Amino acid sequence: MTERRILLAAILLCLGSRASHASDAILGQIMQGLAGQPSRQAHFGMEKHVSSLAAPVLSQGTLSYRKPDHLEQDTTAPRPERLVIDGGTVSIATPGQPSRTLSLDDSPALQILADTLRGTMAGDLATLRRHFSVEENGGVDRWRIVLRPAGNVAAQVVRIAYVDGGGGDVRQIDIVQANGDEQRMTITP
Amino acid sequence: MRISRLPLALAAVIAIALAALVFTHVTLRGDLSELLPHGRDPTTRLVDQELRTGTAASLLLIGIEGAPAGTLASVSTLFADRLAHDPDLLFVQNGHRLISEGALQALFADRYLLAPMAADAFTAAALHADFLRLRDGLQSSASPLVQQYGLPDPTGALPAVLASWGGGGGHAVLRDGVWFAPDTPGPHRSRALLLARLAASGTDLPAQAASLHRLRALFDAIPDRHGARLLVTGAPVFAVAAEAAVRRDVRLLSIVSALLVAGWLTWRFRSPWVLAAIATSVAPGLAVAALAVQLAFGFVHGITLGFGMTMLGITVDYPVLLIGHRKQGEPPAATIRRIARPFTLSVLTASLGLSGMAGSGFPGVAQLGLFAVTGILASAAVTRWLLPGLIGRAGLAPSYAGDPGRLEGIESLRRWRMYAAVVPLLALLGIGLAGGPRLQSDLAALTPVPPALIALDGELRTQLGGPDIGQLGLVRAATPDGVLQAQEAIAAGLQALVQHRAITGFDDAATLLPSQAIQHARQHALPDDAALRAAIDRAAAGLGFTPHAFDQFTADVARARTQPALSARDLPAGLLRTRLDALLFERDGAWFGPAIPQGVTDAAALERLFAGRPGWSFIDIRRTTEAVVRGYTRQAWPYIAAGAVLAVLALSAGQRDPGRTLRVLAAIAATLLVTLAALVLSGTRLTLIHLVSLQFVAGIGLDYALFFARPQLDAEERARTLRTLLTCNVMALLTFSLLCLCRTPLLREIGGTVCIGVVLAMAFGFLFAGERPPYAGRLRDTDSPA
Repeated sequence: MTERRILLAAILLCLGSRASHASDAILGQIMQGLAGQPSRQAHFGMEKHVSSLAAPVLSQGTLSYRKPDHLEQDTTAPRPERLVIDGGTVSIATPGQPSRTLSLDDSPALQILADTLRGTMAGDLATLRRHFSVEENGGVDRWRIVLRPAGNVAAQVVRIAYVDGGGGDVRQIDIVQANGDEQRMTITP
Repeated sequence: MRISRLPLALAAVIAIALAALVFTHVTLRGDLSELLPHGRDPTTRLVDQELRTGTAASLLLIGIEGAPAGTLASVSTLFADRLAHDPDLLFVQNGHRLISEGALQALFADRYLLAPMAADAFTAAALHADFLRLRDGLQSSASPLVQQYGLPDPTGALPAVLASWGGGGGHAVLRDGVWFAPDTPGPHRSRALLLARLAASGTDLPAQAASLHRLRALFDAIPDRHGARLLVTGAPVFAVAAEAAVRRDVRLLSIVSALLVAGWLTWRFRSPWVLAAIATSVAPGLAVAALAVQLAFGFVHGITLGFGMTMLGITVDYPVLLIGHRKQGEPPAATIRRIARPFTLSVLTASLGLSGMAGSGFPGVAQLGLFAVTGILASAAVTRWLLPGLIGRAGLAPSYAGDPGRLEGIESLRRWRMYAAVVPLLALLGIGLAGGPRLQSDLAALTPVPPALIALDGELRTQLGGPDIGQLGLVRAATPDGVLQAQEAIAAGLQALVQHRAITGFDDAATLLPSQAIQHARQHALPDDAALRAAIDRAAAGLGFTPHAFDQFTADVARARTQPALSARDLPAGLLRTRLDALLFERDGAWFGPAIPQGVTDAAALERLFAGRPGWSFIDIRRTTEAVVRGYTRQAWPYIAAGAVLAVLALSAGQRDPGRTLRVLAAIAATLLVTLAALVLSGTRLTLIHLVSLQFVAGIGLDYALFFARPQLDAEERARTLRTLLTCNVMALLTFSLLCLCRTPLLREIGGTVCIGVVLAMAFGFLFAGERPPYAGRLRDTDSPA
């Protein structure tokens, strides 16, 4: 009885580890695909649910990324705004106002959000794993990466995040923030 | 008598050992502020104390440059991190996380008491505008921050608090999360900036020096600096640099002047044993002088020592005069008989003249005076009573006493002395035409800190917005809240000055922490729950907010209405508290708060504002220190004059022959006048130091004149005197010209003054004090070169 249970457990363990090996291998492949693009530029549409606003906020614009750490989110509608994450800083500029620059070090929340976006674009698994446990569902052609906070700090910012894509392209990023606010960014190259 | 040099050698060794013993045990200090007098009224004293021990005396301005901006930023971060863990520093700030997360939360919680709010801030109309702004923010990428800080604070109380606390850092810009100076063109011209405060107080210079040393070592230990250089300025750096300069100068002086004098004398007397005789006489003088100053003041200042060393210029003369006047094989008692009178008179008058300095009450001058008087008396005593026996046993005398034959030609120059008298008259005229001597009471002009360092300090101070405290208002009250109320009462006046561009801004405690009365008024102005909810409902109508979007806002306002008023203790520790502590402090049971204006262009308007307000005093720091120095200088004059009068009286009594006394005085007066004229006409502004130097010149001039003025000398003795005095003169010139090479301006000024003076003293002493050669014929008969 006991032996059978141990055997069963061992088989399950093996299966589990084989499954995780397989997932890891695919994840590695996906990340390689992502990392293979030194720069990208795409159109995006964003749908944001903010708890204090009754209606979702819709916006669109272009998203561009350049290796290793330059990310620009250029919103054209409904209100022009330019968000640049570069190196250790993030700056937000709206027309007619001086741009505001913040240091990522100053805010763990900003750091985690920036790492999530740039880590995904760069296919940088190590950066993602600094904050999240990374899990992959699906295959190389059509995949979904699930990010769950791995520590207290990350948990205070993000509840869960999904990144969907195919091959070396990111198609959609969903982030559910710790306070319940949700945002979905759809990316069309 | 058989010649034996052993007693002389023994005496020299004992004298030097004694001096060495004293000098290893005295407390040597180089802090220039120790030489300055302290203020007398309470306000001046307080400012004085704050300048010496307060924040200003321990603040460091730091720049890092010489590498690409990215490197500088990471070096700045690493350096700040290491400094933050160094117990030598009270705080360090490089722009990164100026306000910690905890401090920000604390300020956020107390925002409604700390922030000035417009009267209509909580009306529906004002809130409506705020809500529109918030909605835009929530729709932007910054929505997480707007959710966290914006929704609970639609009226912007926290930004108002932060604005009044200021970012610190002056004109510094934040780049890569740390402070940078605004860009200057050119490659690698970026400069990262830091601000730090040493734990060691301004009065503990050795500790500050050690901290600075460690700070530089910490920087040097940072890896991958790629050529980044450290620049550090601030009061501690200045004080340490000044002290190091003084020490370096003193060391250089003592070594080089000793070598020069030794070389010169060995050549002149062809015997190294003369040096032993001089050491026997001079070393006890220095030892006694240092000991006396140590006992009287508790320490010996480097400047005193540096000047004291050059006192060799006077005391070295004594043994030289003794040996120089001795004939080969003559019993020492006979030599003493010949020179005893001018020798004693010269020692006495010089000491009396300098004794005025010792009693002047000006710390630096008093030290110099005491050092000089005790040193001269001790050396003279040794020369008079101990040295004759020793040099007699050692058989010391000049190998060549001078050529009486050439004397005639030289002495015939005295025929022209009536013409030479024109020179001092011209000097007097020159001084008169130049409008008299101009006095300098700003002793900052004499700082040995290199101008480049001072310029760098000004640059970093502008970039970092560090206060360059020149003028300020200071209020005194019984309680901290009293200080805050007085500052609030004058704030409108200061604002008006800002509007009229008399100043660009000001810094005071009340801007950071409102008085209890203001806090209560702000609480009172907050709407009650029902009124606020009603206003919110009307303001938010149609904007698309959910019903509970402003719940935290109403809860926070409700809490603020009843929370106890804040005092300094309630503010978060760190940079904020450090700033407040410098602006609101207790001394001897009373509370003080400075209002420090920036960019002052109209000091008179500033002074008018503070004048006549109860509790306030206006302080112009430069003017205050100058006034203190001037006061002490004025007080020192009568003492110094009294010393001079005493010297003249002693001289007249000792000489008995009024004509000769007059000649001696004429020689000294001419020397002093022409020296003064040289200083005045070269544009030098006179300080007490020049006065002291002139006293030394008078002392040396007296020596020369008295020896020249001795009556009824044969040609051989006159030749001996001329030659001996020339020896002394060259010696004085050698040591004092060394002073001109010093980095310490104080010592340089002394050197220049005395150099001019001793040359003139020799010339006028020879011309005026000596007798006109009436016996030119007789001279040829007794002509017998030694």
